[in-house]
Amino acid sequence: MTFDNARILLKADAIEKTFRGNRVLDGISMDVHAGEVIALIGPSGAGKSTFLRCLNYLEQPTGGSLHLDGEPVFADPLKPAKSELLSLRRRVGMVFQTFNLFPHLSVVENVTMAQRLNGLRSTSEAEEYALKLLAQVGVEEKAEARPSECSGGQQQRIAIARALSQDPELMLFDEPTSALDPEVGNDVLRVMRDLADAGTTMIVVTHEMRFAERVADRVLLLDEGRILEEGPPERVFRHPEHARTSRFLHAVLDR
Amino acid sequence: MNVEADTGALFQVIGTGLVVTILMTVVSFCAGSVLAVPVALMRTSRVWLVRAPATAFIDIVRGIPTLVWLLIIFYGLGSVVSLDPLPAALIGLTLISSAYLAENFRAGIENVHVGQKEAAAALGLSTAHQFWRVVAPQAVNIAMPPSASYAVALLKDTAIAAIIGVTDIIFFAQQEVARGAPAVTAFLVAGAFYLIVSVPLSYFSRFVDHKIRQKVVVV
Amino acid sequence: MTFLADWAEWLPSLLQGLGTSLLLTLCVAGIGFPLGLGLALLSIAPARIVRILSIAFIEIFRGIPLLVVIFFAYFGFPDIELVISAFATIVVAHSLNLGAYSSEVFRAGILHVGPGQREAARSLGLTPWHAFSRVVLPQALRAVPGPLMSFLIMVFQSTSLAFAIGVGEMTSQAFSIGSMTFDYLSVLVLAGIIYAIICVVSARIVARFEAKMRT
Ligand SMILES: Nc1ncnc2c1ncn2[C@@H]1O[C@H](COP(=O)(O)OP(=O)(O)OP(=O)(O)O)[C@@H](O)[C@H]1O
Ligand SMILES: [Mg+2]
Repeated sequence: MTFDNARILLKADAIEKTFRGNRVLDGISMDVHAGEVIALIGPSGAGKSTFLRCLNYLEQPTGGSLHLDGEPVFADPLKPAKSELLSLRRRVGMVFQTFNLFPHLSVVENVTMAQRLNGLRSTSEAEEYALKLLAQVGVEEKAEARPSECSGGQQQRIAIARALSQDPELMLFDEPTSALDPEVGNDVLRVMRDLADAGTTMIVVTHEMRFAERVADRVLLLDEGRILEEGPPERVFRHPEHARTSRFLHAVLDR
Repeated sequence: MNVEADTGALFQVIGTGLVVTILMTVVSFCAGSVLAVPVALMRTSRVWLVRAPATAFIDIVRGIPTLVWLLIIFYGLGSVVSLDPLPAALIGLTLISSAYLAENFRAGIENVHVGQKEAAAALGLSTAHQFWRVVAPQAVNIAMPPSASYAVALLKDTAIAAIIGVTDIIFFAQQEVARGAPAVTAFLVAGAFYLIVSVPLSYFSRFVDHKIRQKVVVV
Repeated sequence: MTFLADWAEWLPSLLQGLGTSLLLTLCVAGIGFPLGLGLALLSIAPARIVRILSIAFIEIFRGIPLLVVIFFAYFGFPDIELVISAFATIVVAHSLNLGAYSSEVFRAGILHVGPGQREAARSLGLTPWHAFSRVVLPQALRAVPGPLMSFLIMVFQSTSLAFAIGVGEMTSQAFSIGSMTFDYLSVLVLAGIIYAIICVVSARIVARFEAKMRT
């Protein structure tokens, strides 16, 4: 698939992040087209999680700006208004490495809560939609269970359903399978692949190079807070431009 | 009279104080829990000006012994507004339990995993919803076991109210001793009454602790 | 600012009472902590009956208010021909209470060491006693200073209960000044401030210490 003519859904412009004088993101710019799947790879500490969290302002960037659908997300990116923050986060879903399901709620309540509180759907509609999403990720039989009664793989799929419940235009995944055993992780990757096939726009931080190669439309390699290499998976993986890229790929593939 | 009849009578008289002991424990625990909520919220604020008074309140209230508080309220404030022993004790014990429970609640709030708040934020929940729907319910769960064991400590602390004349278990035991009952028996009976309440209560608190451990993610 | 003049006048007697409070605290700690360690050892003893009795002792003293123990000793001891001073009564009653409470800390410390250490020591041919006293115990005691210091603050606060049987510690001093001047509020507040300063400062020191121990 090529996205040259597709609509640019998200535009990140020169995103910077400094933690107490430590410059973690050094001005990252990126366009995400509607329907595109981007794999974000790179060595530990490169700033992948930080960058992803800047895209929904869980981390407030210290510089740069975001556009969604051609419109600036914030009038002043350094002084986000509450309403702007909420609207960004409702349009962008996030899946965490450690799932972060709400342990005091049942599985289905995890998926309905934000729909109800954000006024997206009525209680009965929210419930119906939640069950549909849970079926889609293959855990409908756990609807009434507590998260603690579910396996890690199930929990992560529930977390995906929860993020999808907001009808996000863009999904962010931060190493969704690295806390899981490989077999269980595959169930999660299968769900993500289905989402990608259905045209969901996704940015996935991952160490699963096979997944990146097969599912991603574009691979971004982040190193020391910058994009070191960028392109279609086959190019980045087979013919990297930089020696550092091949070193990184060797190190990962050797594991 | 034989010893058994004496002991039976002692049980009866001292038992009348049990109601007051339980009343003091329940009222000051419940009122203290309610007061503790705003104190804990202030205590976890990011704004120093909000946090500092709550910290000072907790430190000062807990830094002064229960007996001294009760004497200050009953004899000290008593010279300004006249107070009966029971209301004075209730005020003092509520004050103290609010400070201890506020610390429990604070620890509860701070021990909810940061990922929980982040997940709630990422779903676009408002700050108020993030706190009341996601953080607070889990904080209550985490704060429950230490608060249940605090209830046991509070029960025993209520004994101090006898010193300002509240008619609780100890008060009646003392009264019977003054009337010539054998002190060893009288205070054994008093001790037994406390055990009747405190032992089940502490077993309950351990049970709660065990239950909650399976239910929450603590950092 | 007349109350400041009053406070200056009362301070010496309060400080004298404070001396008694601190002395009581020291005596109670000196007896209560060793008692706590002893109870902890008994509560994990091989003999079942010893375990049951010591745990019952601990549970009873944790379940009844210190004031009941104090009154029991103060009014009850003379009945059984045991005559000791009020000061000694407080020390005895309070030490039993502290022993029961602190035994839990010692026991947790011992259990935390785990069976591997004991087995390693035994496999070197050490006697059970040596394995315990030279290998397990030293490790167990490393974790207890923090909690024991917190207990010390609690003990200091509850020495105020000595007021109930007329030992002249700080609360009693404050109260008797109050009963002479009829200005209970002022002198009790002064005593409260002294208690609070000592407790808050020591709690801070304990927190520092515990933070340091953890790193
Ligand atoms: N809240 C924070 N405060 C201070 N420094 C931080 C914070 N979050 C991240 N960092 C620093 O930013 C750098 C990038 O971290 P980040 O978590 O984004 O890396 P990553 O690429 O996701 O690594 P990994 O593959 O290990 O998850 C690291 O050096 C980290 O120490
Ligand atoms: Mg990361």
